[in-house]
Amino acid sequence: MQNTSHNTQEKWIPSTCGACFNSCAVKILVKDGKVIDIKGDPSVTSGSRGKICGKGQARIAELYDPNRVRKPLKRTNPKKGVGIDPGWVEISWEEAMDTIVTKMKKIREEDPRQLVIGHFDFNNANFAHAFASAYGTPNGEYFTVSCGNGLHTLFANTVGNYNMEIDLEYCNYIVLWGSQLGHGVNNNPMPAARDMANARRRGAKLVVIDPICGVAAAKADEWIPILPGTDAALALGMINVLINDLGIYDREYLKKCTNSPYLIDATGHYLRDKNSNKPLVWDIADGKAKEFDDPDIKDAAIEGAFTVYDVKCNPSFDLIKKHVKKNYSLERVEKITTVPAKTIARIAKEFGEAAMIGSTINIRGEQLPFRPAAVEFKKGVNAHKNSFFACACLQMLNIIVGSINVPGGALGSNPIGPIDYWTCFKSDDGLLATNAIEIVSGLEGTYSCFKTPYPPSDVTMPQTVGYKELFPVSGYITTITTFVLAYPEKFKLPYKPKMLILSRTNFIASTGEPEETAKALTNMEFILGFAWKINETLEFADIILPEAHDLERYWYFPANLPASFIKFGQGDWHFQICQPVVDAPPGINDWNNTLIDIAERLGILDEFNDRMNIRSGLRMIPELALEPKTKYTVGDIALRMAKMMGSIMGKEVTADTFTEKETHINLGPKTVREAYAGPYVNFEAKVPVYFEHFIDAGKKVEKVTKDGGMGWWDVSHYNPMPEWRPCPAFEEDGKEFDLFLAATKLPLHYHSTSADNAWIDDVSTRNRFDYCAIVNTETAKKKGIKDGDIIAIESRVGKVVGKVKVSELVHPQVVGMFGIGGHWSKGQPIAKGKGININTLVPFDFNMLETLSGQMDTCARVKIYKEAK
Amino acid sequence: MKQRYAMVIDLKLCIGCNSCTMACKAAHGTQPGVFWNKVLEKESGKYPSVTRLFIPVLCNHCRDPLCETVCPTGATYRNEDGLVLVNYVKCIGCKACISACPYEARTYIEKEKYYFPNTPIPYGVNELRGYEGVVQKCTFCVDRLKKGQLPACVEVCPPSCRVFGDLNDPQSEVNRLIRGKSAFQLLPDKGTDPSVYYIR
Repeated sequence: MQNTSHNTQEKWIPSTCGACFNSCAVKILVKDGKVIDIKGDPSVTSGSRGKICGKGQARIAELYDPNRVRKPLKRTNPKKGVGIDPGWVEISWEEAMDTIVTKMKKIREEDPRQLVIGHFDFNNANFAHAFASAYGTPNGEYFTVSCGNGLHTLFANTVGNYNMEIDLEYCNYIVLWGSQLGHGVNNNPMPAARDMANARRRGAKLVVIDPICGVAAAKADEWIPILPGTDAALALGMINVLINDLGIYDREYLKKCTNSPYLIDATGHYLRDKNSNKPLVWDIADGKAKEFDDPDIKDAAIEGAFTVYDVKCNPSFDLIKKHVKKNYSLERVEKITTVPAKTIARIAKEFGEAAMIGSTINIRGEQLPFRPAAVEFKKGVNAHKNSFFACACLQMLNIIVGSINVPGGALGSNPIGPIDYWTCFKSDDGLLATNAIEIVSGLEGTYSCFKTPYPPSDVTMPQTVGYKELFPVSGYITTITTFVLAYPEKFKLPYKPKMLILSRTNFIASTGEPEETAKALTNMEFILGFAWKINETLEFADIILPEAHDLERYWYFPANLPASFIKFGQGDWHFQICQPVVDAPPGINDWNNTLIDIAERLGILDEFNDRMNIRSGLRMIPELALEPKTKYTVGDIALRMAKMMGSIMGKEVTADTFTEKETHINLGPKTVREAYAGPYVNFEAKVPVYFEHFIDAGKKVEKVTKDGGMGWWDVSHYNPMPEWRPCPAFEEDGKEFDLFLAATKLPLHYHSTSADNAWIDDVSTRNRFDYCAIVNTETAKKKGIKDGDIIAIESRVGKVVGKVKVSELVHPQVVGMFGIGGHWSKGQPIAKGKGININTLVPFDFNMLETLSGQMDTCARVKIYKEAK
Repeated sequence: MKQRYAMVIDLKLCIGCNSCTMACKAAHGTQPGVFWNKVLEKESGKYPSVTRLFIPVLCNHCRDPLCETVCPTGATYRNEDGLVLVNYVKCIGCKACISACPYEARTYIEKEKYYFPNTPIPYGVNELRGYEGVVQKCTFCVDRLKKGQLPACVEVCPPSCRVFGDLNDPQSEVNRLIRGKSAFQLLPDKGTDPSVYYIR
């Protein structure tokens, strides 16, 4: 580890970029205690490999920004609200800490659960969550809505971990659906950009389905515009073409590696063996039903109707086959999605043929299935009320051609870790499950928003603001926390949250209508905010403490969560350090260190160390475990974790391990099984096409909510069969609000927190679209709007004003936005007033939230008109 | 001339991410509003059959540079590696070169400016510090080339759509790319013979 105070010569220091959650390995050139250059680490071959994005480089500018918060601040204006000046005055650290600790002592004596810690300090979650546990509150929460509730859940169910990409090394037919993998945004952007470019060099076809011709669509062989929120319908239409019209589906894979043959009775449940209770399948060869894992199954039926125990039943795949034929004809799908029937049929056929069902490939001596066609999707598909099933319908395209965790196909984010550190396993019903999140988020349950979605968790009336108790089948639950804090009576918490600690989150600008979302903040007695700049949410704080920049602090180790931020598929395992490369200015501290200071003053340091030992796993190695009555820093703990990971992985790690030459722990190449888990695990742990476990989970939720006096809780999404359901916005007639909102992401602004960066702003000001809305030429003509006009965009809950670009690059029924702008806080003077805050237009209405996964819909109907000057 | 440095940019692979724009800024410390490297974009066609193209632009380091021809003081010159450079000591800021350059690659610096008042950001080579009333532009990262490094925009490009090399070496990657595809230069009718080529 580096001693930053004596860097008088030029020195390259290895660390990890914190510009987004992807954790690229970087080397940072420091001279005289100043950062003068940032580049990707060329030696991290499965990561940045010498590349780094513009946003990552632009962070240099942030270090020298005079608008940084440098002293603790106290609010003098008791009135709190959107755009209301808090009247900050500077106070001493001593006064700030005295106020905070007095308040926290009182709250802890009353009921510690009244404290909520909300943050998106992605890789460091365990510090805040260990602090929360030590304090006695279960409310340590990720505060983010920018992520995928249905999406992460679906991936955990089908690919054995919480993210998914495409094996660009071998894929020949790449479908990016509301996603821009390999185009500077999305997961692992540096390796993905390199691999995507190589795929295009060797002639891979790229099809992009998106309402807006963003970066990926610009590079595609074919851009297919679609109406927002209709993705599931298009996917089911394509599935109908493949199964019923063309007969293109991987029968062998579906029979052996999915629950397609599981027999379903009239109630929708599995037909189970009366003795063993195992799901049954029909063996065509022997003409009888057998347990799903009977080694004597010769030919499992996935089509047809059977009678077992005098009960009529069908294989689950047979139900899906009939379901798509009946409900998703090309004519109907064209009407829903606006994609021409001919295009749907052609793309389905191209995709099915490109998958080369039945083909194999030899990889390092192992013969594996080869399926060089895959569909990839992220927030665009996920951010709708039917979130889980929208994702499941798209995933079904990959599943029916057998393109799951095989070369060329859709790859889970490292479903099997080195030495099986985390891995896939099978449930009693033989379906795929994963322990990755338990390993990654610490061995002490999960106080963060992640949890294992399958097998379903227990259902009880919620005791936490995270409300996970009512989401038995979701793997990632976030936005509901804001609703619970805004309307605590409605959600019947047994206590009322009183104090909020906020860091690295801005949910008021990133959820829905700010005035409504603000209730989550104005309900609090006391808010402590950590800030390097004061954003819109932190304008509601009572005290602000200055927070270090990522270039000035340590992270948890490894800094790249290895289950997500190591290139998927083939490559090396690598564990990175994130360490301070320069000192934070005087009076500025890493917020996690400040939490440890607070723990000391509250007298809960022993509890904190104990929780940290459990969460980090340090307790497993006695000489590394944190000792009672000792105060450690984040850096001390990170180094101990590096030593622990080293000892687990068989590498010696010391304080001097991470140097310019040896920047990271490299464990060498993944095995073939680690790179392509599918052929190794799916014969045992099967991929679901039919979500039978939802039926009973939904019934439990219905009972618990009814008994708990919340009969209004919606359980209508708890169905086993993938389907399209219209967004709440579709229920409006569209006469007045005649257009839909959609957004696309910009590489320079990926994962936001970019708008107040002086360099990024300088480029964005000059880019064609960055701070603008986009409207189709024909639509603009009808409304008398010209390129460059200032227009109003109005939904039934809000209005924003901004500059419009008239273009052919957007669906005619859509107003497109580029990234997220429109910041209004005084603490972000560069960002203030630039661009458009799309979220202002989205209703903060519980009807927008899917109660299966927890995803909030971002689909809103809007009207546009020229704004009078 | 020993060598003639040149760049080939594959427009099919450029994703318009502006990593190059930022790398250039970080390497040279250009002041607010000044970009030696930019990414332009061009839209053509009718919905939904449209083309959206990203086009990175920088100084073309022409073999027959119009900027050099018009420079009254000899401040603009071609060095022995084919780079078109500006000697800030000799430059009188007459802006004749700005009018002459058909590629809008040059910027006049009237006053030294920082992104934050009185806060020069301490990055890169401080080649520009203290020069006012002069004209600036891309140098192909001449100082990095001297150290055996690639230009910053080439090194950083995530899809590696930029290739840098010697036009005088028939075996070089740049020559291979120029020969292999329909490479083109910008505004060939200006007779400048740019050293930056594009392929699609």
